[in-house]
Amino acid sequence: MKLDNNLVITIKILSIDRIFIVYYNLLGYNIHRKETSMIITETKKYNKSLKKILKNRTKELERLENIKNLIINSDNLHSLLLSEYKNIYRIEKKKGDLKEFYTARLNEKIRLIMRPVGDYPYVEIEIDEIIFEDIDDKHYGEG
Amino acid sequence: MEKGDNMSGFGSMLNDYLEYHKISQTEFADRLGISQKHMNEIINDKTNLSVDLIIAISLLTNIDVNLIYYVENKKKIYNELISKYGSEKDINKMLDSYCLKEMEEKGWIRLKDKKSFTQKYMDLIEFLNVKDISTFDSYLDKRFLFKKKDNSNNIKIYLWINHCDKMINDIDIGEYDSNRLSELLLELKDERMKKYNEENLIKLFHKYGIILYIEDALKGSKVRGCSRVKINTPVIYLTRYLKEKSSLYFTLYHELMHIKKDYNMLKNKTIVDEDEKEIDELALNEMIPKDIYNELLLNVSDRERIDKENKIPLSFLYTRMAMEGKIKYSSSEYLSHREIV
Repeated sequence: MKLDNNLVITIKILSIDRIFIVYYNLLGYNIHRKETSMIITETKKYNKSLKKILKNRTKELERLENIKNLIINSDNLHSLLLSEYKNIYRIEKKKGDLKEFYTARLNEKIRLIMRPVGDYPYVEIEIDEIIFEDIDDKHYGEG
Repeated sequence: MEKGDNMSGFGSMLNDYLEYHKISQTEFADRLGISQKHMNEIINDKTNLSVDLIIAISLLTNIDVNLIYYVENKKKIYNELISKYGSEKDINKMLDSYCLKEMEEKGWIRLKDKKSFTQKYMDLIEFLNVKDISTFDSYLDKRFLFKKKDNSNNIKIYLWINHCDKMINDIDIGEYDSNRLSELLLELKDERMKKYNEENLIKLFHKYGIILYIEDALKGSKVRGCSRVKINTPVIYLTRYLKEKSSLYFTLYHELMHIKKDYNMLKNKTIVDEDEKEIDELALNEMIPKDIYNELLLNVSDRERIDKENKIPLSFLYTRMAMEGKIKYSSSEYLSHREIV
């Protein structure tokens, strides 16, 4: 597929540095964004639930991998919540007693429970680490 | 399927996007100007996305171009690792040789997802600043001068140097002038007489346009120091490997003598310290000039006065005497004058 000139001009206006990095990486150079990116840590409880609930669930495991990729590729919690995938994966902040947690949807019933590392109320732009706390398969509709 | 990594390319994420926005694959294929077959291969991760397609998909969907590239690149790296090393166990073994755990504990590297060997590998090559692991050995050969061919130790040393390189990136110092090296050596004589103060020592070197950075190396690494020239700025990295002020100063003088003698060579190669007789002798002579050393050996009762006049800490004298077997390391002279950093 060839790009026409107008498209190239639009790309330049949108984000020339990022396009530049992608182009050069595809040419075989190893250029990295020097911005920060988020890191993921996992609790024992999460790993236990992962084995128990998602065993052999290929589609949900694939979704989990996609969410991980999305998080790692975000600069911070703020940019994660601005992502095109926020609504697709239903990344939502919980309320009440669980207000410090976020959830993401793995399927209709199964939720990934996450907790940003930082003091609550969170300053989203400063949060660059997220803990995978648990996987919950008892959701019915809400959240 | 490997245990730690559940690898798919961007196809799965694109499919999620299309389903959410209720866009059919046929329609999206038409918007991209590709065939339905090609679209199907993309969704099922049966093909790698070209750069043109990555950009076009990003423009049509508003998905961050970096995310698409990252996911595709991760898949590519995963496949390369599996085909090169065969199993997750062997990949992790290879990764372990780069001390990721220790580096993370020291805060040298951020592992974005410790469970994924592909991500750990990506974090590692980002830290190493090389294209991939296969280019790493030849890079080491070309740019570093290790006197011992101990590969595991040399990797540890490189990791330490690379970390130091990252730490000095924001240091802004004046221009280096080799003609002022003698001035630095004079001021260094005053500094060495004082109680060891790392911050003051570093400031002194910065004043003369030389970057000095002191950081402990990785466990089991026997490095004491190294020197290099970055563009036109000489750089010295030291460890506290031997814990003694006299040893640290010896390494410091050793590296300084390299800068004096090998400035141009250091522009292309980093020299990692080992036994180098000529440089060692120059360093020892800067610490205690030969004639004064002989005088000190002869005039036992006058040592303190001679040392003071020539700005030589007694710890330098007794360490050198112990090193040359003139006194024992267990002697009271040596032990009572030791200065630990």
